[in-house]
Amino acid sequence: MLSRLWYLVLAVALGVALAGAFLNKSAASREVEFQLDEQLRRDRVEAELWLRLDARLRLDALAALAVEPEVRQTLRNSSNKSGTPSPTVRKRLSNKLNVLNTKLEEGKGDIVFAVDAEGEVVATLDKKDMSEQRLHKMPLVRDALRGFMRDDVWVYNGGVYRMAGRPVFDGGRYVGAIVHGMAVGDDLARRLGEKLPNATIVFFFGDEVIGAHTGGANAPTRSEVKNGLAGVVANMSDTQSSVEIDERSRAIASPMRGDAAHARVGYMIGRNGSRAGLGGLFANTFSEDVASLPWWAIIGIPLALLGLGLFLLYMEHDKGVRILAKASSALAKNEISGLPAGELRRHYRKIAENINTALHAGVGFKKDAHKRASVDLDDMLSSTRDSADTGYFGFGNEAPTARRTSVDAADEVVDSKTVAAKPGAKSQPTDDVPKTNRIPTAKPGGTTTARPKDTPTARPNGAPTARPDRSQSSRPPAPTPRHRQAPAVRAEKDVTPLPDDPPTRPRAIVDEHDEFDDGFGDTEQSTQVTHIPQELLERSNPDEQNEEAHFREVFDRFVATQKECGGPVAGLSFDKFVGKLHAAREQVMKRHNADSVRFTVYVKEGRAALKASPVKQ
Amino acid sequence: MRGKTTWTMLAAAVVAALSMAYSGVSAESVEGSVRSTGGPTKEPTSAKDYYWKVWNGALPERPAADTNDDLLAVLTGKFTGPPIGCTFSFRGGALDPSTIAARSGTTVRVENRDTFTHELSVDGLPGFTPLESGPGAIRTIPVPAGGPWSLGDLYYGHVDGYLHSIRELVACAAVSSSGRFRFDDVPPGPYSLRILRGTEQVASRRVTLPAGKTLQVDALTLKSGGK
Repeated sequence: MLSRLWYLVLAVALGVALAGAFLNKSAASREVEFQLDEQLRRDRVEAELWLRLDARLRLDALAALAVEPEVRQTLRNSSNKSGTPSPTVRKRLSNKLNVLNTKLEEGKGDIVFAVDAEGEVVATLDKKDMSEQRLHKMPLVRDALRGFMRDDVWVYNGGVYRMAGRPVFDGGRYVGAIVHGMAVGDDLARRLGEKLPNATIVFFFGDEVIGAHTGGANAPTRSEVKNGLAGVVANMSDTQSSVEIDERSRAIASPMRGDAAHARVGYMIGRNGSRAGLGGLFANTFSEDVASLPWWAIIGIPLALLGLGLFLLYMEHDKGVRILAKASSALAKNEISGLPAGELRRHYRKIAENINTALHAGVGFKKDAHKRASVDLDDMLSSTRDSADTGYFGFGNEAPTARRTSVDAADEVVDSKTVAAKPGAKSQPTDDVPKTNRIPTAKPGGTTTARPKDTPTARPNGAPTARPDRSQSSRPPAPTPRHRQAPAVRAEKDVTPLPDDPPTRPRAIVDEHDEFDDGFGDTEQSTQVTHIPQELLERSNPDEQNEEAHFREVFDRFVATQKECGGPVAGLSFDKFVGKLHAAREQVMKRHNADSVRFTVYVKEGRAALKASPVKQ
Repeated sequence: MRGKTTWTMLAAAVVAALSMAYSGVSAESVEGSVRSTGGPTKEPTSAKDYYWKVWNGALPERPAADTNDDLLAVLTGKFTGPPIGCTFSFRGGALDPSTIAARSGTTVRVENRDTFTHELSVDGLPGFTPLESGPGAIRTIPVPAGGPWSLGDLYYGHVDGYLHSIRELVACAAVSSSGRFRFDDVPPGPYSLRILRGTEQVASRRVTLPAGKTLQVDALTLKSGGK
């Protein structure tokens, strides 16, 4: 149970670990996404600041144009009552604007206007453009004409320009403004991208990309960002959060501050996040993190739990298996008579108890059942003992022979048969106890055995004879003269006269009588006594007589054997011995449904012991 | 002799021309003006953005002039001819004026007089699709009954305006930054003079234009609001 609990603990621990890993993955993914979102928001703020700074720099650069005397004078004249200057003046101013614009170098404008106080364009970079043009309603120009420096973003004839307007004042009054514009394109994206490493910058006008810069291998590609453009533009009203553009990339978008935001002009910053799969959980782990781990707990606790689990497994399973293996080995070697159930726990104890019970009951393979018919008398009578310390016959030192199992007995029988021809076999019965077993068979012909050795009778397990007409005459108690012979002698006729045959060999009476009958052949019918006198029947009473003689013989043999073994015999009386034999006989007969029981004496563990063999007719 | 004849003919032509010119102005024109009830109401300088404006400005802020470019003067009455002077345009980067009107069931033309592209939009006007209009292009807007409709420019957020549909529209005139307006070539007859600002009619007066004379209308006082 504890080991199963340990499996449950192991499974729970594994589940918790997996759940923790997946939760950690989710948390890590969220953290990565959160960090990426935060980074993109910082990028957007930085981009805004940079664009403002860039506008400020452009406004400052425009000062070179606004303070140019020719510019001031021309715009002043244009703002006066004299009206728009002549084309010649305007062309000359255009040339001047081109020269001044070229000097701006990096801040050189793609479009430049010089407007008078009414907002009318006096000169542009295109000196051929002499058309009437007014910009007075453009907020940038309007504010510039009012004295403000402003920047804006215009959509101007299909292009997108970052505009800057600076007022031109001359003689203490505003006379016009210089309006300067730089196209939004790849160059602006590149310059902004330099401030935002590993980010991809995309400027867009509606659904069209008008400028882009990819910040290296770690940044999403231009096409990846462009693919997410539609979703980002749709979410552009929310400039505080980023949008996922693919599995590992996010982007944040912002409209460009100015008039063109109305025309969906903006920019998008995209970045790649780090992967946060199960394999990538450790991607951001530093050596400091590893060093700071509580290794004593990470290693010690699992080891302690492992040791505890192994101990519980040993206590619950391995120990029982080991005991069972050792005991079964000893049992096979006849060193013990049963499995030590008391040393086992739970299921193993139950198994041992069941096996012990089966051993006691002589349960086994049917074909060997007849071999197990004999029972160790110690075991048969063990239940009648008052205590284990007291010997069967009342001797206090009889313990070694106690607790023999029926399997022992069966094994003894089997062994005695199978090893009959083997010299030196263990637990040999005394040579003279089953004397009757040595009587040669009555079958003529000099055959030393009544049937093939180790070959069971043709009628298995002592089944009734197939010749019912002979059954009556074949029974030992039959009052025929032949049957009045001493049963021991009669039984000994058909027992294998092997010198090593243990005395516990089951006596299949039917077999005996088969042989007996065979021995007399057809003469049986002619010698049958048709009438038996009553006194003869009473005198004969073979059961009691044979039993008394058998018990006496067994007692004598037991005493002799005990003496030979050096065992105590004082206090061993025939009456007490017989009483025990009676009790044992009753048990054996009841258990094996036998008609009678034969007792044999043999040496067991250096002491005399008895075996009870049920006899069936 | 020949020189005398020449001088006589030249003098006659001048007199005839002056006479025709004088008679045209005095007989079929309406002149008027408007005045606001208070000072400039647009773009008040608040404490919040004052510092920003000063910080951005090289000189002290110049107050924004009330350009009245959101005012439109119209005459309505029994006149079945095409509306007079009701053509509008983008100029200077925005609608000029931003409030325009058309007779119900007719069309109104908006010309792009800027050198850059506009894309006019009319919110909620059925059958009108915003289209890009390059410099010099004219966009014709069919005007059903109803309105007014909000105008805009898909390229420029600062562009706004309103389109009014007037059933008995006779003539249209923009109001100058000085508040003056003038209707020319208007047939004589009784009319209603209305001043529109945004979605509102901020002033009105019934007038009768005599034949052969220029009607001088006293200044109209504008109601506040209008957008």
